[in-house]
Amino acid sequence: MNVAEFLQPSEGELRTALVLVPVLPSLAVFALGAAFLAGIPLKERTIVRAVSTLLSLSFAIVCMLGLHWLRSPLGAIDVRAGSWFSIDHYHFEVAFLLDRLSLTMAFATGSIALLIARFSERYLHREAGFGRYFLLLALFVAGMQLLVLAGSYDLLFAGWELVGLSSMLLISFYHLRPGPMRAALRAMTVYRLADVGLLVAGVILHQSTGSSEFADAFDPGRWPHVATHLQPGTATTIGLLLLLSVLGKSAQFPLGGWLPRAMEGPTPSSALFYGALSVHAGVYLLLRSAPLLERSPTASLVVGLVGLLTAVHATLAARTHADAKSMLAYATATQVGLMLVAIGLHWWNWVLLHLVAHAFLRTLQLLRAPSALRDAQELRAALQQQEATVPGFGRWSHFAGAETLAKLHHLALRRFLVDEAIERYFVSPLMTASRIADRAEQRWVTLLSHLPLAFAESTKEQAPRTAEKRAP
Amino acid sequence: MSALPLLSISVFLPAVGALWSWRASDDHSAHRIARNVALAEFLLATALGVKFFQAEQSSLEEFGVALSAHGPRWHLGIDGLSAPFLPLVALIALVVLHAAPRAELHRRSVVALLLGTSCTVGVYTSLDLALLAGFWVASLAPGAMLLRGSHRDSPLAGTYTVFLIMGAVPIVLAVPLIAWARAQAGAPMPFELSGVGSLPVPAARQGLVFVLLALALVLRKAVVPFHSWMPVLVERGPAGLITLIVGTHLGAFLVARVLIPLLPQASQNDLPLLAGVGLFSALYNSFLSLAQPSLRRSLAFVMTSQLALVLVGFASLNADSVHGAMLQMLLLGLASTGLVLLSAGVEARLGTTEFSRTGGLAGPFPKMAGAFLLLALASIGTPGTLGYVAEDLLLHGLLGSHSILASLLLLVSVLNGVTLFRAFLLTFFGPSRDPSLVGPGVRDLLPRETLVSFGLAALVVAGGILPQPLLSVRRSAVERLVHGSTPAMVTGPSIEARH
Repeated sequence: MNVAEFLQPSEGELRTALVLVPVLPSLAVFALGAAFLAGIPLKERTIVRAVSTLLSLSFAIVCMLGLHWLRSPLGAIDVRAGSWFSIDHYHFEVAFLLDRLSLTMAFATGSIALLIARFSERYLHREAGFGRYFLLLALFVAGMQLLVLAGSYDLLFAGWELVGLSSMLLISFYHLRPGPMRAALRAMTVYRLADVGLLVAGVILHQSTGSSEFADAFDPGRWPHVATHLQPGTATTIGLLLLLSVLGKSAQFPLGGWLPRAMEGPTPSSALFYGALSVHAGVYLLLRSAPLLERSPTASLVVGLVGLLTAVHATLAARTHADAKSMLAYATATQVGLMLVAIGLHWWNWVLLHLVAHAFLRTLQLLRAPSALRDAQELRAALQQQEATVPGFGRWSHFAGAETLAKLHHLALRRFLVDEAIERYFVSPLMTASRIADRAEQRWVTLLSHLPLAFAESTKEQAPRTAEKRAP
Repeated sequence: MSALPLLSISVFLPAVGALWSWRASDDHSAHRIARNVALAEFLLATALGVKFFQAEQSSLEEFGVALSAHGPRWHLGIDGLSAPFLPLVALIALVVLHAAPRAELHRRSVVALLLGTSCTVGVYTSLDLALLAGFWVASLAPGAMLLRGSHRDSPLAGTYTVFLIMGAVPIVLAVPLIAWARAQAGAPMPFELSGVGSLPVPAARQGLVFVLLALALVLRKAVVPFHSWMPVLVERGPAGLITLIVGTHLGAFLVARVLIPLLPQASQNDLPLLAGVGLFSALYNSFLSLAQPSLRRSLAFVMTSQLALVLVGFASLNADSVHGAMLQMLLLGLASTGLVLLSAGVEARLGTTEFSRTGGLAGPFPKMAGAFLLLALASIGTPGTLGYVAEDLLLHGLLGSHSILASLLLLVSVLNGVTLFRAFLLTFFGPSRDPSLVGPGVRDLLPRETLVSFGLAALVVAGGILPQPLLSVRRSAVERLVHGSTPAMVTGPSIEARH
């Protein structure tokens, strides 16, 4: 077999290769899970070696697929791996799409994941839950690769959910503390709420065009020069629903409150998720839906406005935070907001470039964040400065008086009261109403149980059952 | 093999086991006998299911004694509807007998569980209306017997009595009415539920019968406003009783077996209304579940909500959503059994499941946390589990014809997910709020509990990765439901899904 043949895989080989890319990391998930269940003690080296090998293999396949695509005259290769399940009128096709967008993202995912795996080996050395961390890392990579290589919204959603799940579990990695637990619940609530958008968007697309696969629903073409013949109204609806899911996953205004709190997880996972990949999944989704946004100026406008609002909000909030990771979280949200603005302007290739560059930069910054103090001290020593310079308002004082700036500072510190507003006007009333309804429910049950029937005892008040504590 | 009345054996075997256990010398041997009988029943039920699957849906029917030439008779059969449920109910019984806390496995409860299994299998396999109603009513007796004796828990016994037993009254009234109406219309076998003799009730009489059956169904499925008994049962009742009532879906089964085939015109008109009531119930219960103070109560309301969702799938009578509803029934049977057993395990170890006193249990009980997480993820439809396939089908079926129902269904799914995660995080993560509860001798999941919990999780994941066999076995039954009863409403989406 010469090189030319090697780079021209058959249809079957292509299918196998594409299925292997997300499946290989998920093998790590199953293997590690089974080992933990069986109580087999694994050495750190073993775990890292196993996960790294599978991630490397997956990445190697991505590279080969990239070479194949580069050599191929087609702009986009649509690969069908068969039907997952089907009934008479509905078939869930497992479809993958290879084009500039998906391969760039897959490459970024594979490479950054490998870097983070190497970094984590040292960073989490002798940490309780070492194995659990790598299991979740593998789960994330499986989900993310599925997300970026998916050829349909349904399959993308499957990857999207797995990414959200691993995100939640890694935020609560240090599970004995209350902060991570609350942060994880908050993140998961926002994810679930936002995911509704993606789910419904996929179904509506399926209903309108007969398929939720990108190759079928959109006209053939090379990304980003793909069009669609959907009605503008439908395109707007789908676009806005997708924007909802982006608000959640990419922490855009007003659903961005979970991101700074998500920094409770281990630093390498924060870098991977909220610096590099998970937070850009929303941007990827919008890039993939470029045909819809081109068709719908309304949706593009809304996307751009949301991005602008997020960028302004996050950059102001970033300047008031005193810890490196939070500041980087806000900085990430700002940049993603700017990406959304560019998406609204339909500058597709620029956004992709921005995304990849930002991913690598932010990964570096977040990985260096724990050493930020040492870095700063080294810098000061090199510059022979005695004290740290405290940033003041600087140039801003040319534009506004001190009092205004102080008020702005205060508002920015409280994140412009967005979280508090959500808590006050949505969450609290909902929980209070639920509690009131529950009390009414309990009173009704007490009433029922006092009905004079054969089995009911007459005047016992409803008391919580306290079973005896004993070993089973 | 055809000489043996296998179906009748499968109905009577658990009852015989119950009698044998009752007469055992002590609790321990009663339990052992019960476990073996449950295993035998499970193997038999699986064999029957496989036989049905392989025989390409040819009839596996048995006839027996009849009360009169045209009256009710012993008529059992298995079809695509009941084939997956027989192994399910046997599995539930087997699993409960293995993994429930010891305190709940005394002789009375073991006997009650087996009797309940027997009656439930009877309901599934009955092809005679009077027989079905008889088994339905009989399936309530073990619960009543159990609650009368050991627990002395007034809210539980009281609500169980009021709702479940009162829920049997409409069906007892409906059966003679159906038979009379059909006899009047000239049907040769007025009690027949399948085959040539099974004619629908004349259109004029369908209204009243529909109301009666709907009432029985609504009471059994704990649909608002008759829902109060279910959360109380899940919060306070013994694991065996809970799983037998929740996991067996007799209410939904009634819809598929009796309501739709026998009352086609009434179904076409009024089933969407019933589904709307079901959706409201699902929404209300998931709303109630948000602020619950304990694991068991949170679980209770989530499960009540999900039971009502199954009804929604039958609303549009479109192949996708009916398949989705049936998969949802299977999922609930497996996942909720596991979750109930795990929460009973938490309560047995700590004495409480209140969030204000639990917390940080993942430290001492990592396997329990893992199993709970997997089963909870399955319940809310994470991709890779059966729940995702069920929800995907439900959504695709409903979004075309009933978009409001579909969006509210998603809202229910979101709320349930939030509640389950909240329950998981507050119980297993975070600091331990009352460290004294976890004493030095308290252990993580025992081997039998591990086997059961992770076994159920494995089944749910396997069903999620390879759902096609589960869909194929139901295909003809769903066809009959969708096309046979409502020829005017063919299928939901107007554009055929591209291959």
